[in-house]
Amino acid sequence: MKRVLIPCFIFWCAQLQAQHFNLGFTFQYHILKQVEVKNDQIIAAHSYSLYKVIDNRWKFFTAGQSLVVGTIAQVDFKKFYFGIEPSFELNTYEYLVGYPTSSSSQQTVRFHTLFLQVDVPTYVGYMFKSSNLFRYSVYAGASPVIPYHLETSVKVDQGSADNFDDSDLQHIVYSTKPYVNSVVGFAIHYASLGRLDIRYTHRMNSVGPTYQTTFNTVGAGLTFFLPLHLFKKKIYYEE
Amino acid sequence: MKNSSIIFLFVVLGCAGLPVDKEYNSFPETKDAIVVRQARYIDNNSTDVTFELDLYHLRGYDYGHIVSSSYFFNDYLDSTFFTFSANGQFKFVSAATAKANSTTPSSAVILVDESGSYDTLDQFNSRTQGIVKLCQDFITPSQYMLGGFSKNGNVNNQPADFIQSNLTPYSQDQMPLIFKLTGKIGGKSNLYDAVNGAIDKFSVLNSNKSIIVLARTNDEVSSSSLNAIIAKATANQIQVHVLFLGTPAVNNSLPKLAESTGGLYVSCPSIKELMCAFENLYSVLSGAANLWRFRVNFKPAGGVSSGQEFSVAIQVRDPLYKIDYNPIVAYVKVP
Repeated sequence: MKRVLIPCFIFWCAQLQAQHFNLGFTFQYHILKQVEVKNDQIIAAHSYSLYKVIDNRWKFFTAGQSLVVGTIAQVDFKKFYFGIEPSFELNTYEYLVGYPTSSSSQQTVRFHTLFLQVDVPTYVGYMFKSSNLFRYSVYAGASPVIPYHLETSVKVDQGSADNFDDSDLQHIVYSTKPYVNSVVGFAIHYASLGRLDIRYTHRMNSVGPTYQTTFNTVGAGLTFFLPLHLFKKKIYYEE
Repeated sequence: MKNSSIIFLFVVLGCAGLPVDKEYNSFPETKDAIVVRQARYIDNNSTDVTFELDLYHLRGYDYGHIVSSSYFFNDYLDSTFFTFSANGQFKFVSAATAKANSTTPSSAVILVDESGSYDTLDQFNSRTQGIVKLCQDFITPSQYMLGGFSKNGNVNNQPADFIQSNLTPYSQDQMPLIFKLTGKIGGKSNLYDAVNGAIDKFSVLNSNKSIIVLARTNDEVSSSSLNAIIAKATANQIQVHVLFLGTPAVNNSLPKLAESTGGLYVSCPSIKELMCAFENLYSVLSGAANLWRFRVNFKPAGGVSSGQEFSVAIQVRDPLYKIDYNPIVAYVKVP
């Protein structure tokens, strides 16, 4: 199958006057995240609890992290390029809610999810500045995501977590249904060897029908291109 | 190679656990609770009185667990479990299981004691989850009305503050209102006045009428009397069920209120027994399982006379496994 697809893709690139076709690997680490439930209260999905929404902030590390390992195919068309990154993502989220214990106090309940995901970020980039060694670009696109649930857990700051169910935020901050993220990023390219980029992803739709929930993530990626030269012409910055 | 890949995939999926799209409801940790469904006078002579106890032994769980909507486990009970404490002699006449009459509470007023403080009895507010579970059991055609009561505290309307204006089946928009009761703690108990007011909430169209009371203390400041509300409830064919949280007072009048009206009484020393009662209350009242029926002959030291009342405190302990259960109280009145 690969023997057919890759030559076809290269042929297609040639027809479209593509100047480079690169294959490589990408590694990303996303540490700045925000989960926002746009409601004051959340009715638990699997227990008899009612939670207060107390923490919708952007947070480093403590709102969750993502590790991404993937492949990349990139085609350059003069100043523009088209990229696709089939990747595996190990994705965690942490979301804090409050459980009322009296008129003046509440228990902090921490929900944690762990997903293994297949992401396929697909984007178009524009190189706006170049030197002999570096080029700079911005890109934007969409990323279909197929999540596979590995784990959910719940912790409390005091008392027993048995009062709650680890799936209480199912269809509120997580589900197993595929979804789409939007992606925008800024990249620094190092010749044709690789690139360093910072990207922002935003989930396009809410997890479930009951609550409006948004997910935002900022992370950094490092990409290495293989020196295959599958298809190469002189590109605009080399001319 | 292809087979190996499939086996690997199955192992990975197996390790990852079940899919998360599952339909169930979980409930906090509970503890076994002995429930007096009814204490019934049978007969008497001048020296002794015979009465029957209908009991349930509700099984508790040491961990959060999935609830069953229509079934509960009525665990083992034996006459050797009971130690009576009253001035006189006790003798078991018989012990058997019996099928309870179905008394589905198709119409119920639930009253929650908001007086004093729950800081030591229920620090993490498990009880509200139990109340929500009970309210959720009242689906069409059953209906309920929920209110909190206290005097000189934070309850706005006297004698009780209700979340609905009339009896309705449960709907999800009531859940935040149920949790709002958590913030109204304080003041003194006006339990009798609240029950008196609750009796007036029923209409002649309601059937299988009951009042379910969560109490943490005896009545403190009511203007209504115990005998008056018992007479009013009985005249309106309303059973008053009492779930008592805490250490019962010596002269606890609440078993009398419950058992005189045909209601159940459960004494819960800790929140775990109360949660067990909340989890199973609707099923218990529906007569969903056989109950344990013990016939007891009691020979009080001073003899028996017409109109005499007995409140018999009973300690419950499994002698084989050395497990102490919640105490029960049998209230009997000689006609």
